[in-house]
Amino acid sequence: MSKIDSDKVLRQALHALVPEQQRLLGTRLVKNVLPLTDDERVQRIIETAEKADVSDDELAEAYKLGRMAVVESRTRCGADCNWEDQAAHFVARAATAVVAPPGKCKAPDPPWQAVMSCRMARDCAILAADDGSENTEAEAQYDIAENFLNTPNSAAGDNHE
Amino acid sequence: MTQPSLEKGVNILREQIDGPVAAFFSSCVHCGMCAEACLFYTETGDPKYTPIHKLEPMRRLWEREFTFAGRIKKWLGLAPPISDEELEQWQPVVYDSCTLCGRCSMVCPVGNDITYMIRRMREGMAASGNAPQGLIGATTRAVKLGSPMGVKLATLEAQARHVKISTGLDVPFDEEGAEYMVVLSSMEVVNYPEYLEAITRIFHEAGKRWTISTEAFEATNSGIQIGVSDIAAELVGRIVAAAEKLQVKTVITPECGHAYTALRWEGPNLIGRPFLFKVRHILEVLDDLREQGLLQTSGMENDRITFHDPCQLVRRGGVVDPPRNLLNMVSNNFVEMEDHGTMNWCCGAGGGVSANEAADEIRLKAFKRKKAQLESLEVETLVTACANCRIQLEEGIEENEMEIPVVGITEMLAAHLVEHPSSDEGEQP
Amino acid sequence: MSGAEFLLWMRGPGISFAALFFIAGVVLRLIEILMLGRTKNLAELRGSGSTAGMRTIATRFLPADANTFRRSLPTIVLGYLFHIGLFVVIFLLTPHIKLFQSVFHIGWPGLPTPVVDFFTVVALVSMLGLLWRRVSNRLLRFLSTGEDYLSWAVTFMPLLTGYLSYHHLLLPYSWMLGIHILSVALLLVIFPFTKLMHSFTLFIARYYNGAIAGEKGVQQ
Repeated sequence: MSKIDSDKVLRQALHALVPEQQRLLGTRLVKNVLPLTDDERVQRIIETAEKADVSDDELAEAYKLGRMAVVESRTRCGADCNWEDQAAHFVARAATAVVAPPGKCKAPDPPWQAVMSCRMARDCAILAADDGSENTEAEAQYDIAENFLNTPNSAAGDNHE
Repeated sequence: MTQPSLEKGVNILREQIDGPVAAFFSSCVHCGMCAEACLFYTETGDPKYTPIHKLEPMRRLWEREFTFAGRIKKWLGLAPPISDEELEQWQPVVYDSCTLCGRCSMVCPVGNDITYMIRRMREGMAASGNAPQGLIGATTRAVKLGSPMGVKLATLEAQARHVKISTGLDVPFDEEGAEYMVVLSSMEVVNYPEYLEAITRIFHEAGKRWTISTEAFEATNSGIQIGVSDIAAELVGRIVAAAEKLQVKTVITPECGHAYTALRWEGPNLIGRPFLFKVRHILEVLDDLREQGLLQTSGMENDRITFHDPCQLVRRGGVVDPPRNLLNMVSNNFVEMEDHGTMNWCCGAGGGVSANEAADEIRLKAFKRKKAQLESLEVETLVTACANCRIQLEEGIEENEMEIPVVGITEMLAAHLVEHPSSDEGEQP
Repeated sequence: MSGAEFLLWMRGPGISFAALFFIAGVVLRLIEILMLGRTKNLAELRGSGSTAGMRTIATRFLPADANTFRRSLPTIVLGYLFHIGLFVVIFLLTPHIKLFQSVFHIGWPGLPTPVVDFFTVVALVSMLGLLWRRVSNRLLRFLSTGEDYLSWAVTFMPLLTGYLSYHHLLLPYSWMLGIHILSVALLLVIFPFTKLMHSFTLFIARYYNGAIAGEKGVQQ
């Protein structure tokens, strides 16, 4: 039974998964912040990513959709930053990283990009709410990852690296 | 910004006319070569985007007040004064279709530094109330809130917390006597948080003491973009005060083009005295670390990559070799665009253009120049060192359905950084 | 008035007045520029501005790179043919050299007149080409003002009338030569009021450009 309580362990666990599993775990992480966006394209991307038997073409389509969503949702340079919109932007970023075909997403580490983008999304939401609450997304992610790895149908413990 | 007026605008414009400006206006022979070097002209074919033409009101002022013949013409009633309508008419060409990229200044056969003049012309435009709304907003926020995008210390501190969770490393705030003080662009903080993590790891590995000032962490300078030197000076002054208070040796400007130019080249002239510290761009610092053997990387990027030179950094800033030296550390498949280095083509979004909504259409048209460059080179990844260029490149690539990811150099280096476990610290100053 | 009288007057008081006016005008224009000066650069410089400035005076004679040359080819080629032709005609024609000698007491060898004649034709043809471009090219038509056309005309006429004089065409020689000198006088008098001043001010402009860039460590 693996316990995830730090970024080091989370990163190791992520990298130990095969791409399909990385995608499924990524999807769960993004779903945790999905309420922060109302861009239905992102919703569609996650639905696609969740399918166990998704084809490469479908993923490529989703990636394309995601890139559009990312670019369109970004705060323009010098504009007054609307933190809610920026939160949605980071959710789009996370979702896009999840469905990126191998070698396409130029973040050095797409699964980790998804992890960080989810945390940024939470940050932005907190800034928008301006209630000084703490960002506990990391801890939430550890829990989600733990649950994912320790349930029987997620090929936990299969180290394919 | 105090109440603008035509009179104020003309007064300020008059003050901008110095020896170089007079020499430049005297020498222009209307050959049109500056247009052929300007991406706003090449991608639209519209002659009104000719760089020297963007200065026509300033030229008329110079002629009627600074030349003997012009003064006679004025006396004879043959040289009308500048009008409100004229300046209003000139606003789009001065702000929407000029990024201060400086390419025109490189090709003018009689040696005119047209960019120098457009920077000065904007002072008159802004003072007369003819600057774009988007820039006015950004500048007002920069002065009042410390960031044109409304980024507060809380935002930065949140990013710092992420870095700590992710790497175990602290982002040091307000450390007196540190060697480096880092300033950041709001764009980076908001859109590219990878940068903060990257430099934290790199400086830690190199054993360099660095810090961010909670009183002045904003690198961008809207005053330069809009052309209000008083505001530009105020924004520079904040960084100077913080750096001198913390007694740092070097202030590092981030992956941003104009922030470097604003602080290093304009800064001391804006505040009227030399700085007590050095100003370096992050790429210069990383290149220094590379030379000293303090920046160690492993592994190579296999993709065919090229570098987009940010204009304010390279052509107008003088930081030409460092990006290449750094890229060669992690790539053996790095090809240059045909027009590269100091003759690169602008991304189309600098100089305040990206903050100016009225310029959206022409900005994307201008990108076609970069598109042509990239298509002929057939690269798989595009690397750059300016967050604003990056946004424009990504948007342009997206709009034109090209599939080329864009990456920042610092982020790329950090991905290949050789890191030692935190138990052995390396050199400490 | 006879042709001889006209010629004599042009060669004497006519051209002398024009030359003095020219010198006064050029000096005044240069003073107007240099007096404005440039404030000292307080930034931490990367290199010497003055060295780079001087270097740029020379390097700006060439286009920035091959692509710039390609993009602006007609302008550059026609421009150079014209300037080279003009330079040869003004400074390497023996009668002209003798004139400079009589005023400045220094001379230099000239080229054989048929050679200079050839360069005159080069200058004339390239000027016609430049005029043609100015009226037919959309960009140049937009940028051009009355002053551009006036400058063209006062530069073209000396070349043309000089050519006609040498070949004894159009008018009796005295008249033709007199008109040639008149056209030069006109050029000299109008020169300081127009963009023709670039002949002098480009050195200042290039210097400033090079210095500003050189201080940042950029050289074209």
